[in-house]
Amino acid sequence: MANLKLRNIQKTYGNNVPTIKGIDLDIHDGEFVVFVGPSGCGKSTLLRMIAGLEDISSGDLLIGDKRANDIAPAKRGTAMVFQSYALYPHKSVYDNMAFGLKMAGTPKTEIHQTVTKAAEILQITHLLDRKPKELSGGQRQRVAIGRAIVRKPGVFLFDEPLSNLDASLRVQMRIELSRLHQELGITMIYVTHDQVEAMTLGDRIVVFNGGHIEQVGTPLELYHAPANRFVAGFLGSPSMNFIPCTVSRTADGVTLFAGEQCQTRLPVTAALPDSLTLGIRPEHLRISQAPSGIQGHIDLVEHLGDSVVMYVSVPGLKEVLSVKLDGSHAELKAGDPVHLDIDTRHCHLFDADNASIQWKS
Amino acid sequence: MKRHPLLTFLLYAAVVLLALSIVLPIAWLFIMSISQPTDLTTLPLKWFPETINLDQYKRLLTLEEGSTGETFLYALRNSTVVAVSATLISVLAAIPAAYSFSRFPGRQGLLYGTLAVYMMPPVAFVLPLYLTFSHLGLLNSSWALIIVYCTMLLPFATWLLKNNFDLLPYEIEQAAIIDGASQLQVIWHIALPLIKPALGAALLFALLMAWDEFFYALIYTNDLRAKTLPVAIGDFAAGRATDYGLISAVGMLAALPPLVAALFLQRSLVSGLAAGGTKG
Repeated sequence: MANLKLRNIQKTYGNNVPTIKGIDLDIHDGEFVVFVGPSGCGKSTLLRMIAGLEDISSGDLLIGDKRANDIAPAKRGTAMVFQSYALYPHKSVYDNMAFGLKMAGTPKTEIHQTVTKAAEILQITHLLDRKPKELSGGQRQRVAIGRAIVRKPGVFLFDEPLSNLDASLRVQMRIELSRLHQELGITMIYVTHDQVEAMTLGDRIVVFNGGHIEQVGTPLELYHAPANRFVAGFLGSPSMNFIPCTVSRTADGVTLFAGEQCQTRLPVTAALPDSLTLGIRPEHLRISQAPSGIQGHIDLVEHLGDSVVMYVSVPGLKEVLSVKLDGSHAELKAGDPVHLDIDTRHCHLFDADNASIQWKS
Repeated sequence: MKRHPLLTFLLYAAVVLLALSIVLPIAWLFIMSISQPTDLTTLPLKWFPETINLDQYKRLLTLEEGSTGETFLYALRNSTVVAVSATLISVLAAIPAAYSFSRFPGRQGLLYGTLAVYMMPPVAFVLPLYLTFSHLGLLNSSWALIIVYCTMLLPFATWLLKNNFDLLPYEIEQAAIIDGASQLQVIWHIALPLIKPALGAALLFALLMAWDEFFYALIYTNDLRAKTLPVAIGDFAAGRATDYGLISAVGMLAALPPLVAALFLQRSLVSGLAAGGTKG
């Protein structure tokens, strides 16, 4: 068990431009934290710095209140599961899992007990004699997790562990990882670019972009109260619609205007800039039976069974609006005119610097 | 899909041709070695001897003083000592060298520098090395040849192994580092087993190169103490009357040790070990 403290962690490669630009983060004991962000945002690099596979250019990394910058990877009390599994191809499953314990000089009987127990937890007992190449992707990933478990780490590090698996297996492994976290109660840090994994697995999510943290919070905090336009657009599928608007005051609020056929009223009393960006998630747009603030034509309809996603082009808007409806709207088809209502309770407003404006009182 | 009969025929013809080109010279060498000397000099040539004559082999497998056998067996011993030592030293040194060239880049100049040995003709090195060995008192000793052969084998083995280390997924080694393995343990427990086929190939080719080397051996050795097989065979051929039967028998026997080594290493030459460790 261990907590982690990251204090102004930076990573600079040869060209002096930092790829990790000063990360401050506290991860509590037993917490499941997900690092999420687009490729190249530094999330994997940071994970590898925690594991000790990359040097920390400056700043302090504390694992269990002990400065770990210069501690060898094997002595940090961390275990890592790689995206590519990174199993030892020439060793059996048993030996793959036993290798770390052998290196640590653990007595044979103890190795046997530990490996057998881990294999039971992961339900791979029947595979112990096989070589990695005789295993399926899901089984390999389980062995990789097993190899990490036997070391009894204080912190579990996962580097996109499920992205090589097919969709159904990914869902299954996601559930198992969640269960594993509950059973073992170990601190886990999980890197992914898959927002579904992030939302479902994490106690807290850390959103990275361009080498710094955009926001840290629980999945629902990030979903309902994104700190800025990046976080708002990154989480949620399809992603949030952004509509540039001008603001005009009325007696009981404001009117956001983005063209003759796209305007909406918000009951805002707070001061607002003259122009801003309105953010609205696809699931917070609805079809209106009566003529309404937003009128357009359906460009494309995707019937997903349980839900329908339609894309609506509105005169005056550069980008089409995506709208997510429940599966009962089978009658929708491309080319139809449509009126949309905005669920004003779920509107997000962003200023010129893309920061979120608090407008709800 | 069914293959066209003509294509099948051509394919097999090519295989037969290849096999014959390899087998025929050896077969002829063997036939010569068991023929009567008269059978080999009559015209028209007798392709198959009427009686099998093992005298040549008997002459070679004796340690009687001053006999051809003594020359041959000592040369066999010298060749074995020189080739095996040079091979083992080279490959043992090449493993860490190749690994560091592969995993810690930035020393490419040094790596290409090792090729310089190959870029110059051996004759350019003969004189300076001769003087050096002469000063060190190493002329006509196996040590001289072992040292020279190492300079040939080490760059070759380093390149071959380096290219194979390059192909290993680094994540596997990082996993081992997290598992607590030291750098040497990573090489020993993880990297080396995964490049076994290349290691086998390096050993085999190095052994053959050293076993067959003639030029340096001719210059730096002159008697039983250090003379190797290629030089000894050359001596047999250089007498007043060439004894074809004897030379053939020497050739057959000289080919045996590398053949045994090749059979032994063949198993490890089978590739495909690295499959399955990472997604692939």
